[in-house]
Amino acid sequence: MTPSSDQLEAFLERLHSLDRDLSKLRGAEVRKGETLAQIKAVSKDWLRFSEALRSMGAFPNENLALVDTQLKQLLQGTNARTRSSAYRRRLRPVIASFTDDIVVPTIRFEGSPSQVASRQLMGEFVGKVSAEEQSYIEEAARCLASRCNRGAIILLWAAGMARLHGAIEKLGFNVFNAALDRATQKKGNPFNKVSKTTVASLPELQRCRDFDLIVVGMELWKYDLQVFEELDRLLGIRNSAAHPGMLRPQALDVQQYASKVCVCLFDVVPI
Amino acid sequence: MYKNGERALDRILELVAKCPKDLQDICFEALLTGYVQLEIGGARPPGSAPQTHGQQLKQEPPPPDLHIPPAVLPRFRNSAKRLGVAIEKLESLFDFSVDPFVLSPLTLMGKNNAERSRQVALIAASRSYLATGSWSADWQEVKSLCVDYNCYDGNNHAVNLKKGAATVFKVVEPGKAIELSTDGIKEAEKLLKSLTEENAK
Repeated sequence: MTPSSDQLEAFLERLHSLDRDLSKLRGAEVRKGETLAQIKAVSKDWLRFSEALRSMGAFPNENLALVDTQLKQLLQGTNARTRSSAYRRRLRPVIASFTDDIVVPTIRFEGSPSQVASRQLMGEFVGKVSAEEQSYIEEAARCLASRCNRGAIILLWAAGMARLHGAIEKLGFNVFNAALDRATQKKGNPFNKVSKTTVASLPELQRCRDFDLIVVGMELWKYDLQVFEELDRLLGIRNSAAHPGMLRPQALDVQQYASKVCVCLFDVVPI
Repeated sequence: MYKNGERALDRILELVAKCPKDLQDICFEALLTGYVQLEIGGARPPGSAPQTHGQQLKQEPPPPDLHIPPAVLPRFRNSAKRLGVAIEKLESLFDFSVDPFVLSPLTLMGKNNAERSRQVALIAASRSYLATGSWSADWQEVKSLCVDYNCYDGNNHAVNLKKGAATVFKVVEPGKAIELSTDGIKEAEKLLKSLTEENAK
């Protein structure tokens, strides 16, 4: 998991603390088991962080290379009888450059507009979604952070559909079929566009058109035509995002899409 | 869909012909995009209101010299009106070449790191309000802006912000969004106004 800037600052504090402990030995060999364990832990933790930071791509690999080299040597030093002054020689350049080369770029990356938008999108759904729905929301947030805005829209809609499927399963397929019958018996738009079918299992439900589900939703959860129209519009945007065309949603459009999905689906259809 | 496509295309070509030659390509593309978006309906920005039966909701297009995205334009207009500043001046505080928009470089007047950090949080919350409608500042965004404005003090960052917790912020918890209180919103608007005026000088 990618370390946060807070974790990196705490890590730097550990390096400072280790350096203070080593300085107390006045250059003598490090024999104390506790200090050696501290050196090993710091080095191993860094190697884990380094791998994750590299995949984050927030800063040049050269920034990491210096710390990698020094801390690898620090770890290797624990296999031999190494003096505290030798350890400190390895720590000094790391401590000197850590803030500028590692912490600050990470802070900037975390505070970048796309990352902020991604976190705000996640914040919109806090406490409102199940574990399954959360996985779609997280993927949508990752898409938004990577500027894959159309992908984010598709996944947000997928989260909404997961809510509808889950809620229908909970009510029972008989209740759904009865509501579907009632909807198809009604005349006029949008009821005359609903396909007549019978659902007896989740796979069959998954084959139903999204449009049919949001129409039948008016029967099941008693939301009105205005909410339906908003959902239909959101479905239209989802379809435009999923097919070749001229739609080029911006990050703000995705955030607003998320707010609408939250209000019209997650606030209306209970888990 | 595209029932009146031929007629619409003729009209577009008619309009394009009236443009200066070097702008005709851009004009054609813009008009055709507009027509296609009208036809498919769903391609309208998600933030805009739905078109319901008998209710043709108009979305005022942004003036040509503004770069504010249509999705947030109404919020910018209302805020500018409330603050009593021109929308162009409010716009100048932000950089719209980035998606989503960010703050343009500003000069903060705070006496010390703590005061400037709180001002950064207020501005970040204002940006968030203009973008999403929520008066809350993202913790990491505040931290990053504090680094940019040279007022980030690693050990005391949270403490500096907590000093304002009782008055301008509802609650300050490291790592969590900083929500503004009613007084905080007033303070943020006051700061936004003063920065707009300062920027215009």
